[in-house]
Amino acid sequence: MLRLESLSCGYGQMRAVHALDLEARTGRITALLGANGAGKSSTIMCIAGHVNVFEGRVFYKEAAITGWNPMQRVRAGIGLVPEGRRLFSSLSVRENLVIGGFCRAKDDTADGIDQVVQMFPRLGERFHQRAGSLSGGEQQMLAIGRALMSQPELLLIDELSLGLMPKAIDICYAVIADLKAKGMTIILVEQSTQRALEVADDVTVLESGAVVWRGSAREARESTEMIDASLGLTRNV
Amino acid sequence: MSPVFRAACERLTMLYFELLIQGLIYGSMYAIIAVGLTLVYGLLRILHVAHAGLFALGGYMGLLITNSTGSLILGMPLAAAIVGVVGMAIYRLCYQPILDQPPYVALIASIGLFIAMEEMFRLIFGPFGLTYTNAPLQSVVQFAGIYLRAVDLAIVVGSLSLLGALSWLSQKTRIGLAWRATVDDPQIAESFGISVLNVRYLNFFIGSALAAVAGVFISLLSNLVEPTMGGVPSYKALAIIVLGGLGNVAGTLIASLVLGVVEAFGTIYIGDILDRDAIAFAFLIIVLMIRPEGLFARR
Repeated sequence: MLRLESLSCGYGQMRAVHALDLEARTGRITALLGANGAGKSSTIMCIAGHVNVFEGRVFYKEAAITGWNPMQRVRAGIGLVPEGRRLFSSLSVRENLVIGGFCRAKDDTADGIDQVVQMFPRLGERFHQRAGSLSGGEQQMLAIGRALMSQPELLLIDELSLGLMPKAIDICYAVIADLKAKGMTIILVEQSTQRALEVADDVTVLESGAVVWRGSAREARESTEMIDASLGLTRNV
Repeated sequence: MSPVFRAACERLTMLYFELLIQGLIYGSMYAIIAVGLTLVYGLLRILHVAHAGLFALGGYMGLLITNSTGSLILGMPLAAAIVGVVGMAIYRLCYQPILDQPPYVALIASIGLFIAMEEMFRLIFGPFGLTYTNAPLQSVVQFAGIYLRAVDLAIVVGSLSLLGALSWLSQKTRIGLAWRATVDDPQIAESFGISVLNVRYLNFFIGSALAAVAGVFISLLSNLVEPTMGGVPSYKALAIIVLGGLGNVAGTLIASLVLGVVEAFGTIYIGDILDRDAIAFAFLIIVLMIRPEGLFARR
């Protein structure tokens, strides 16, 4: 579904990711793990079209999309749940969902909202409330719902569990498992290695912007090397 | 109650009512200037001082078109459309190239542009100002017991209608939703298929068109358009958007009306000491000393 070839990206003159090769296969969850500053979020935002590419290429469904802007990418089917949710906080829950479906046909909006509310009934109860006044868990549900409104085939999720209560994390991960069962391709950035390995199929660990471990989730669960790498400890191993 | 006392009370009530109406006339005009300014600030965090130049350009365009066609109904919308397009060009040529620079860079550019516009008006239209050959809306009408010029009523009705339309556009349409989302987070708005560039163009078009309408209104009030006419109303508008809470459209609207009313009452009670503009600035300085974050700042 998505392939990164020797991708180097960053901000201004600063490189956050160096020569990264990554493949997200159709219908699978690829977990991108690593400590703070490893380059996970930069990779996600680069795939979404928000971070400058210095070198390398991005392929989506075999088409080179390296030069595409964020709008073209979302229309092609790449959805984003950004780090920190980044909801439109002064807008209502409903309005956030409507915006999520902006790149799709107007007639699909009502159906899309119904599906999101079925997935997260709590959002239905908060429909006309300002997004900024929701709890952290509700905000994450809304961020996922907003991304799903664009009917993505590839969903990019940055820090799903960050700052959430355990119950909210359970709900969000249940939805992620459900989306995977429906065949959606997901790239999941997580600091909670244990949580990510519960749903992931493939794992890539980054440290200082480069890959330090790669393998299947089953291998990752048995690998102390991978645990060290995800904690940013490879230099000490 | 004695008849003399009752008559005095009635006269006072009528005076206050008249002052209130006068305040609303000026307040609603300040509102359409300040709302345009606050739209730009809300979206780009730029203090768009050159808005004053667009206000004056609106006055010139409205007067020239009205004088040559004899129709204000044609003159006002055409002036608004022309100035709206000029506003979009200002964004594209002046602000867009420096958006990633510190905010003071855009502020300096804006001040420079305003000064250049004033000088351009002086060169093209002359230093002494222009007047309507046959000023429209000057007939006197009676409204609720007080006498007003038709232009006074047109200002209140026109301003409130425009602000109502703007509110409808912002709250009830997809364009308005896209605009509000872009104000909140332009990067993420783009992730959902919103063209941030188009939203910014629209923002400048609407803000500048509102300034043009205000320029036409003030030219009708005084039957004069001059190169420096943008100065005082726009300095007031800058203070109003701070008073209303920067970027807060509803706060700006209320602050404009309050300022208009304070000015109107001030001219009666302290008009011997301070003129209308001085009263407005004194009021703004006092309020901002007490609440520097503005009356309606979002916390």
